Amino acid sequence: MLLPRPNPWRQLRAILGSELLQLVRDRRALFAAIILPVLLYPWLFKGQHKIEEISKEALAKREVQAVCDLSQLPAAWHDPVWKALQAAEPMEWSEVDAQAVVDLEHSDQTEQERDPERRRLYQELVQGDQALLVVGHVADAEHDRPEVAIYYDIKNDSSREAQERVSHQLEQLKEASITRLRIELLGSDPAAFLDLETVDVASAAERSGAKLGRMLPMLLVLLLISGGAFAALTVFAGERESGTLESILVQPIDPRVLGLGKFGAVAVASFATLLANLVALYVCVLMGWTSTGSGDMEGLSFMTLVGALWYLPGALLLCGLLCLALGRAKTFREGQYLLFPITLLAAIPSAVVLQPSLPNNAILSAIPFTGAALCLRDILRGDASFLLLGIMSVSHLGYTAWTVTRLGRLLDGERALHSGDVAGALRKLGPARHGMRWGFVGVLAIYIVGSWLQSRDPLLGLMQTLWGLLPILAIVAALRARKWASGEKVRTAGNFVVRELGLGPCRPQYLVAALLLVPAMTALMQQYLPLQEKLLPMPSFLAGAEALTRMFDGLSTSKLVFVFAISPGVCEELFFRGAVLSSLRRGMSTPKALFWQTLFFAAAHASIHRLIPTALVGLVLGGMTLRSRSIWPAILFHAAYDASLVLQGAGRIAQQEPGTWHMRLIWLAPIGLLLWVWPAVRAKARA
Amino acid sequence: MQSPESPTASLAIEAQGLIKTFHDPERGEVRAVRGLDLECRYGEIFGLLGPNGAGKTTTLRMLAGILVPSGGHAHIAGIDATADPMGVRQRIGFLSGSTGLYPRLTARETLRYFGELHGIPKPALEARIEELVETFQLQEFADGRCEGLSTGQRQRVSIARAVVHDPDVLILDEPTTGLDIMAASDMIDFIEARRSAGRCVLFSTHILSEAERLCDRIGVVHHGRTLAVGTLAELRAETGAEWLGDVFKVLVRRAEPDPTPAA
Repeated sequence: MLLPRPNPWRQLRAILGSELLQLVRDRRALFAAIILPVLLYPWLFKGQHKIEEISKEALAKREVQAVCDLSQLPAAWHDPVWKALQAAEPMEWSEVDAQAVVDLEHSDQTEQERDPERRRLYQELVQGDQALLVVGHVADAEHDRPEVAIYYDIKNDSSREAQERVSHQLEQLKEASITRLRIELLGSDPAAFLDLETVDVASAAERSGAKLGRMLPMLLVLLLISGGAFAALTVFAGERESGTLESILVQPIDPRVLGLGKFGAVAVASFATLLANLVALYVCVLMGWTSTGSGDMEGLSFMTLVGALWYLPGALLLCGLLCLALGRAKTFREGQYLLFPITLLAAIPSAVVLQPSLPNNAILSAIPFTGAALCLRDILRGDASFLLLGIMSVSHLGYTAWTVTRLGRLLDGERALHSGDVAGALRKLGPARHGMRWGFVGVLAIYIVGSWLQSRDPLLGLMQTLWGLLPILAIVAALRARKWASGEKVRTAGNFVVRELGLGPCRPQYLVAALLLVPAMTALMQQYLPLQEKLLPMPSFLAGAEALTRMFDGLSTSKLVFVFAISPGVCEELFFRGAVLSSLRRGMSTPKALFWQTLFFAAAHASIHRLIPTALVGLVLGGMTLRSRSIWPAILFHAAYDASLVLQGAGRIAQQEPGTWHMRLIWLAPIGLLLWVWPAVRAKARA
Repeated sequence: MQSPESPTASLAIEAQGLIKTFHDPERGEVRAVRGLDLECRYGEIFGLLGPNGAGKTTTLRMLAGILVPSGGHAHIAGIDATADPMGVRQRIGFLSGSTGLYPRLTARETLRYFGELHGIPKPALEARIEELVETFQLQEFADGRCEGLSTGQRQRVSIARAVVHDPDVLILDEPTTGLDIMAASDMIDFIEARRSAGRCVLFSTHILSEAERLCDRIGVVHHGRTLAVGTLAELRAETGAEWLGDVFKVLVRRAEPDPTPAA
């Protein structure tokens, strides 16, 4: 039978219906899209509050044993203090002789010398189940001023609780005594002449809205990804995995219609997530679960939450991105590895809402995800502008439309089937996953181990992170990459690591070329940063960065260059360009590999303010490494670039401003670029 | 069925000088098909015979309008596959041995889905589905999800799916791959039934016995080129070999005097 050309709308309906039917029948998709967002708030508000309450109650009821020595207090103070200690219930007191502690506090030793001795004495006097030591003595012999010292151990819950109880009672005693004394001496209390009262004029709804506005945009990104990603994986990778892609491509259907239908299914799943999430939030508000613990959302109106549906353009863009990224995945597993970068891509621009003072404007509201997050925040706070909502909606829908048109191209038979070489994809999947995994591990290690090390001692911690953590990770990652390089000529493990990390010999011309690009890069950043400052003002506590300035001032120029330029240059390159990029390159196309390593490198710097600058530098460094097949040019460029920024920042060399001699150095860049391009031109000419 | 404007409409499939070149990031330029000629008539079973990697799948995909030829042209039922791939896809049924089914749809839902994509009007579609359920004996499992079906049952649903719009030309890519004896024999019966109904069946295979038993004419392909086309008797006469396997060897030796072992 010969039929007329099928109606695209009917085809679209059929695709949407069939995809949704399959999603609804998939328990995992239902869980991710509906159940998880519904359960989240009750858990967040009720569950967490309950846990906090239970542990607080348990702690408040717990009887704590403590020891005290009030024997040295002046007689007038002995009884009131003892009464206060007994009022800190429920506690059981026993007396000890703490003369040694008093002697220690009165000694001439420095605080550093006293510290270990104090710890030793505490452990000696406070034994078994006891968890607190209170010592009363005369601190200032001349005026007969008494002092009560409370020794506790913050690691111990009971000790912390007992300390709070005792401190509270003694504070009250102190306050009462001061007031009594003033009245005795002056006949009235002069401190009572001014009463201070603060009144928040925001309505309860606005208050809760503002609070929710800081949290919901980020939360929604995570929830939408969890809901939409499963749908996108099922709709795209699922089609390839079940072997139905070829049969659908051979139907008389425009790939754009197919892409739109599949996008529609993912969008419906995401919308369900958004709706389920907001309904669950409203139910929590109605039940009064949010007015306790970490919630405090009372007064949040139904209309506000309906208004929050205006986040839909953001949600649609996220769906489009998910489809575009996961549509290329040949298997579920390959798709799953893309979720972390997509999450970063959406969550980082949304993080602006963590800075409540940042006002929304026309430019910000057109930035993907940033605009949607700020508009949502403003709606929740009750001060959204329709113009900005309009700009956000139009721009976000525009970006979404772009992703959907790209999606059509992805589903074209030429691309879908030719790149559908599953055996080849699986062969490449190993090294690609290895690269992604280690990039992820590196970023996490820097976040967790690195920041822990630096919180103990900023300078030493930085050195430990750079020279300890990163090279070890790089070497381990390189050694483990060996199994993916079975076809390549490798002799010993050492040789392999050297080659994998790109430490082999390098053409000198690339080293020169790298150096020639540094002044231009520095100048570019100095042009860019003021621009960014307008869009995303640096919070004041970061802008001053007093600690950093103090650290700079305390170091000699050579040490400064070593710590902040050479060390990051060598160690970060070893890991990001050495280990991660070479592994990614083995499993992906060049642009993809460059993109991911750039993202990991930028994410490792853990700052939204430095995200774009570091990403740009990362991209250049990645390009240099791939071109020269060695990380030496990248090391040189990275170190020189950091050195130039740090020395200018610390005021050791003059700022690179128009008219200065080192501004003119940017004209070296064209020569540098030529040196990068030249070998390719020559090779082509020879061929 | 036949388009009166087209001079070649008396042929179900006609391809001339078909070329397909891929750009593979690893291997560089891959010439999968290098000038292939083909003619199939209605009421005929045509077998495309060749070893793995000969370019059979690529050729069939070009004929089905999924891949665009790099050179040459192909007409299906008189329609140019490059100019009007949608028209071609409306007129063909396509099934490959590696085809899967949507695990969470039932057989009936699968048929309905593909029928709707082809634009079959609703009442006609329901009648057609019932007809297919009966023809391919799907009654017992037509309303269970496809994930629970046996290989043979799946195969029957796949075939029904490929002919839901009753196409005049059927293109089958290694249709018996991975099937057990019973399912493969069902498939062969189905191919013969299409011929009896006056339809054209083009199928690719590397299984010689299948080609010997089924095909009215055979096209031998190797390295993306047709080495010879004809009935089995014609091929035997041309090469002087008795068995199809030997026929194939003679043809390859003739095309490549010093054959290098396939990689």
